[in-house]
Amino acid sequence: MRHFLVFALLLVAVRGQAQEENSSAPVLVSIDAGGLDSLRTASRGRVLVLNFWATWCRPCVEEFPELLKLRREFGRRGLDVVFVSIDDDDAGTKQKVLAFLTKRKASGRFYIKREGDDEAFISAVSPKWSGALPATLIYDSAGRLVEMVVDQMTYFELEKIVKPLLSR
Amino acid sequence: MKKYLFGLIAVAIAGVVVFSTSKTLPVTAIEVGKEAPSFSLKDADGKEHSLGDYRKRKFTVVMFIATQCPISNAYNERMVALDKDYASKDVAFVGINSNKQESIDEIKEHSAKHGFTFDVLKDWNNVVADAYGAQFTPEIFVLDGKGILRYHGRIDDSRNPDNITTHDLRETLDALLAGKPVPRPETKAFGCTIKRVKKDS
Repeated sequence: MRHFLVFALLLVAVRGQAQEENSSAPVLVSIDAGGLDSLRTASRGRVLVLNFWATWCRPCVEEFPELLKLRREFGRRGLDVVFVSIDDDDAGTKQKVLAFLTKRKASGRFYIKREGDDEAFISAVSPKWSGALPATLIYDSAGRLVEMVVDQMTYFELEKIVKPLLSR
Repeated sequence: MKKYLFGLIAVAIAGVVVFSTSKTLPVTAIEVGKEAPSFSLKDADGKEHSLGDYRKRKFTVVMFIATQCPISNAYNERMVALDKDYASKDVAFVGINSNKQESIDEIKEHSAKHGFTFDVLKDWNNVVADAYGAQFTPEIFVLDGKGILRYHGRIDDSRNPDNITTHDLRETLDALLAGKPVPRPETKAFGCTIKRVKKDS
């Protein structure tokens, strides 16, 4: 009986924590090409999945839950999944992006491209990137670009690339 | 027996994972200064048009466009205005729709709704998009009378008409028509990925 009580209390505590995690609000931070570089540098030692998306981009919206799942599954095993929205960086649109994130129970830090030269930003991400969305760039823990996929991705496709990098 | 079954299931799952992860990786666009591939495609009424027909004009603007992409749609009016302004200067405009999910009926309705004055051709199985290395909509390729690519990139530098600072396509056409070098032969912009059919690689 005592064991059962301890187990039940533990279960409630874990569920409470999970709910708290789920209910924490998403934060939207503006980012430019320089910020992107700092972010990539800060992620050294961990595998990085960098996803570029927008609320107006249907395949981006469709793959969004797949990337969130990836973040949930591997976040504690050395993976950073970073989302950069290229929606317009104005108050109204930011609100729309935040509403999108909240609706999908996405918590934590998200980025939005700061208003400015789109072309310079695209080239700073990768000279090989055309600017087509969605785009997902995957870096190993040494910061080397391993894969750039300019297409909608599934959880399994992402996992297949990420898993071997995490075990290196 | 059980072990054998598990083995079989594991192999089957592995097979599914391997085959389901084949992705179209970024394609490389044709280079400025090189000859662009010829094509022959049908419009929404089933009429065939070939690049050769357009190339009788001084320059041809090949525009990869979409019916559902909000960025491409943000440029509908601008594309019509460009066609209107440059038709008398012997420049041909042609739209190509390579998106697998956008039907002939949708293209027809979309062109009528937005008053397109240029042809929109359907590129089934994205063969022309592949040949050009087009990746997104709206993406522009300007060819001269010999079919040489003279410009590749965006129409201008902002999807919001109020924020435009450089009218790249206009500047390109004005330079070409004046016999001057193109100011910036390659530009980049955000756009919607062309939805391609999956091909075995």
